[in-house]
Amino acid sequence: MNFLSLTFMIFCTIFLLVFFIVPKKYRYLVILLGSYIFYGYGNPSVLLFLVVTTLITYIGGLLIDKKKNKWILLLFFFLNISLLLLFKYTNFVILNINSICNKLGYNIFITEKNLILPIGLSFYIFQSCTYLTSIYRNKIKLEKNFLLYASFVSFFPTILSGPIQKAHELLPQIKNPSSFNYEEAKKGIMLFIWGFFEKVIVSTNLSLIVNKIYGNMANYNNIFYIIAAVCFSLYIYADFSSYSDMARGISKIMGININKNFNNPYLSTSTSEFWNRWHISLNEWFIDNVYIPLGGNRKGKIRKYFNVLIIFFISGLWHGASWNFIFWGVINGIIVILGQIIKPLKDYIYKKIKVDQKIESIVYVKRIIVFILISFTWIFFQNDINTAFIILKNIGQTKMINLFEPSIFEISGNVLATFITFITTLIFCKIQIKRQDESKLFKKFNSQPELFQILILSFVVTCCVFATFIPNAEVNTQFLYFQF
Amino acid sequence: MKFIRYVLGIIIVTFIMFQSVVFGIICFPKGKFNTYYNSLIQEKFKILKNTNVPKIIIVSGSTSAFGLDQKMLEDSSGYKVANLGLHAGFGHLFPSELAKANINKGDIVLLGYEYGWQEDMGFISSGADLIMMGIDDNIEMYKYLPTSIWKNCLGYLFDFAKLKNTVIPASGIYSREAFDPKTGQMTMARDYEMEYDKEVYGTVDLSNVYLSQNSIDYLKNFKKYIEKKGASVYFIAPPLLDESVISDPKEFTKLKELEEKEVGIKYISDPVKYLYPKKWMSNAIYHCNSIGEEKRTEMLIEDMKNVGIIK
Repeated sequence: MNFLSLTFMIFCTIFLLVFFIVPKKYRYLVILLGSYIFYGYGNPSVLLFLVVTTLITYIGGLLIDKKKNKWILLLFFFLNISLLLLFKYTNFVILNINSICNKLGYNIFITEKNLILPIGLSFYIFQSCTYLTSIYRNKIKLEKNFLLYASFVSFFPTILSGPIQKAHELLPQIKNPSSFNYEEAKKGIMLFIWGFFEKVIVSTNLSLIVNKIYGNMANYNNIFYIIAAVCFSLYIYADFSSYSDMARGISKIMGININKNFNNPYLSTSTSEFWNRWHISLNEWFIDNVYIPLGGNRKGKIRKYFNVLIIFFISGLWHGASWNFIFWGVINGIIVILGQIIKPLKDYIYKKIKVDQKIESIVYVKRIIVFILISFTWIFFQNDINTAFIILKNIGQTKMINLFEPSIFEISGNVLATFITFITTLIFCKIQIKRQDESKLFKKFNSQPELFQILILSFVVTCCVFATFIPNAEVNTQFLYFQF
Repeated sequence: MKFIRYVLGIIIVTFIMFQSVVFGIICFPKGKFNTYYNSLIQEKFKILKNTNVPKIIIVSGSTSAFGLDQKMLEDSSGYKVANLGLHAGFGHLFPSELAKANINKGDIVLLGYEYGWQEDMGFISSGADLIMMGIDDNIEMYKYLPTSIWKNCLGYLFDFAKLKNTVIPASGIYSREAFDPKTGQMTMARDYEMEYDKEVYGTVDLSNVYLSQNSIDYLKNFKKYIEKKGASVYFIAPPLLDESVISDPKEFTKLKELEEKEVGIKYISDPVKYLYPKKWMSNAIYHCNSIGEEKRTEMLIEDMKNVGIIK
């Protein structure tokens, strides 16, 4: 089921009504049932994966709690991950074996397997793994109630695209749900509507530009490649952030707080900072489950850099079974490591020339540099490696005169559409920055007369509804991160 | 309770805002397309709604705007004629749905769809832009828009507003002035012969002809509806320039047989006989000139007499 469907709206209304009617101690059953309906809607066979991963981690939890043995943790951790490896990477491995054999002249050809990656698998497998580590690290008590545990794994707002929740944060909230809170529920509605706006208006309009340029590269000159790269940076942010906001919104209405997945990543002044603000839940997962077990920064600088590179390599691979994702991950790792290596030198230079790094102009310059670097890496995320290099080569050949290309103003189809895309993206960026202090922003909005609040929210929804009908901007109801 | 009120408030205000924008664009300013060819559909619809004596309802595209003498048909049959044929760009669903607006016992519905309707998207595709320019601010007619067209119409809404804002009055053969406002009959003379160029006017290829399931399903239900009202429905052949046909003419007969077999609606004409020479056609492969119009009407009357629909 998709957040942007009428079916979901009906489902959500019924779900919330039942959720609040049922006594608190049984609400986890409503979550479980609702989540299975949500996830299995349209293709009930995917529920099997959910059941298997729930069973593996539930049994794993029981044994880890009993023995507190690292090897049992590793066994069940990898057993769970193996499901993901099998469905996500088998064909990638086969393709590469075939390719290597072909290059070496061996007449070996392995047929690709007919494996379809169930949507959201990467997310709920990672989420269920947090339960194993939380039990092992005594961050949470063992959950003996299988159904309650199953409701944590299948928690529907986050199952398709995160944010990946930690067991010790989400499970207690499902177990002891809070009473209905009007203010929190209002926040939830606002978050959901904001997510709707991010997806339907901002992400859709930006993806239109990206697809237009990348889909017909021969027809566009260098400046358009730069525009596509910039638009993709904003598009991926708006698209992913929209899902996270909608998921947080629904959870808030239920009285469950789930963590923010983004914290204005494009305001970062270094690439390290960027990765602490981007897809926060995944990065925290990698830090908790890979970086720290590998030694983190406790074993010297060289080992630390190596660990960072490993994290980025795995992160790339997690995003997709394809070399461009791996390349994208490794490049980001290298940029982060280089940033850390030259940091003392930068600090020394700033000190020598007596310039405060925190003054506004320097901060802006740093943000622009980070945005450029990250946008450059996204090119590898969006395209295969060869195409990405062609794009970069073209961008490198951009001349000043290319900027004066009149058709830039018609990149969205016509001047008006381009203007609307520009304005809505600007509004998106402005509000996202304001959301740095989300509670203050909510407080300010909430202090307005209720009628005014309703008018504003209705206006946003109305714009979104109209946007869904515009034929040349066909809204892709699938979110980009569903594929991961 | 407060929360439900809050959410309901958002839903209701959104609904009001949405409706206001839609109706605001459709209804104001009024009559911007009154001179346009497409808008004649409003007159034709009015004739259909107001004719409560036994009538012949023609459902087609422009073949029946450029190829039917209504008066001649009325005089020969004794029936009134409600001719909905105007523009194939409307698609076939929309005029078919419009026809349902006033069907009474004893009425005769003639389906003269232009070729191509039988293919996969041929029956369900429609031009939201042409339809909206046609029905413009006539809110009642929106009731007959098939739900499958709603999305396209809403998607076209803001372009429609833009068009409304810049529209200039139409004139000539493709305008309201070419028709009698009371009867919807084309009155502008077309005393010229067609100069056919296949690059400009296109061709018709019925090779490997088939009927799409969606068209079969729709027409079967349509037939049921008509018969339930005590009326009858028949297929008739549209006139077509013979030179434009690039497939074997036998395919037309094959299509006729297929329509009768799959849909169950009787086909009363021989489509091959309606493949006309250039001297009977005017400015498009489906458009008759004044002579062709008379010929076509004569043939149609003959066909109807032959199967005993009229005496």
